[in-house]
Amino acid sequence: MDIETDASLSRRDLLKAGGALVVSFAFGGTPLPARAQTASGTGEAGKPLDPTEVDSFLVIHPDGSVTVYTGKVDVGTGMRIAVAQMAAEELGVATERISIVDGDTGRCPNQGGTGGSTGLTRGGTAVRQAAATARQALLALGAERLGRPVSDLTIVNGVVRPVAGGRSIGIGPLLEATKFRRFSLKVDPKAPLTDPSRYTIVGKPLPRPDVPAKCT
Amino acid sequence: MATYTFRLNGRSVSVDAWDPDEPLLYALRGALGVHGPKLGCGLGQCGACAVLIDKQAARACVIPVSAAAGRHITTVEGLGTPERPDPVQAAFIAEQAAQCGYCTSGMIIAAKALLARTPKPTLDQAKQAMDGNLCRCGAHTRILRAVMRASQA
Repeated sequence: MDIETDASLSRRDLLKAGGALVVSFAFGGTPLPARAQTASGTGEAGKPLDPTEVDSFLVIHPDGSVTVYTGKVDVGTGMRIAVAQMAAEELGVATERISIVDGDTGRCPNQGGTGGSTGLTRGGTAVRQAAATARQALLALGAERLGRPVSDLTIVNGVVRPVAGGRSIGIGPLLEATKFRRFSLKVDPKAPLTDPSRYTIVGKPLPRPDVPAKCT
Repeated sequence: MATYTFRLNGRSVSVDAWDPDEPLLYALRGALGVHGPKLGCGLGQCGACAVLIDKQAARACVIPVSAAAGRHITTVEGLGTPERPDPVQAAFIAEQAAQCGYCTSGMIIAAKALLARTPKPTLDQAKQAMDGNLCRCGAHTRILRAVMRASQA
């Protein structure tokens, strides 16, 4: 009985949401990815879901830890740790400082279905490009704060610092300079990627975060 | 409706069932909210639902709840936690012997039962003992490594 009641309620809710959807399309003009039910097309506290936006893929927290959002789902393939490594490599952040949210349509950009070996080849590479774009933005913010040219700077363990040493600043505090702690940037398809010959994180076998819970 | 009382992971529990032939697995996953054992084939052929009854591995999808009365049932949850895993669980984690995780609980239970009766199995004995537990992801090689690692712990 309870189940039937709930089902009829949710059908009604769905119809209501469907009505809102038509209206938002009529006025908004652009189709929204994922969460089309909400007028703004944004997830968690206004985080965008548009796969062309850097902020759709990653959030840098005040303590310098990072949450990566991916529309591709880890079904035991190890994609979570692999994507974390790809993001860590580009951002200059330790893998342990990255947590992954995968496949939540309310919070993650729509990257299409997971299958056909597209998890990393399309899903992972999109995160990588977003992280590479974010890296350039972080270096620019760091240059401003430290009063040094971008070319002097690097990011190591979540800290922007001069290659030669000197005053540095964490990526968490750096984001305070931006509106809502966001990058508000389009993913730059030309943002330079770390050369594979210089990888220190990608390619290392690391334990998957999902395994302990699956064994206990 | 009959009530069946047994010990589940060290504590006494009671479940009500209209049908004495209701699979133990349904009682575990439903009324008791223990989700380690999985419903795979439902025919006792894949091992995803394995639990220990006393010290023996059994297929909870074909064991009636009435047969559990008065017995000690152990599921993977009763062995250890992510923070304090049992040696067999620790070996599975160390060998990363899980992909999707659906068979893992049953695999660990089967390994636990094997090691209880044969603490130092040969690889062949481990293969024989794990033969009835199926993994569709293809993690068998890692699973066997985990069983052997656990036997040496």
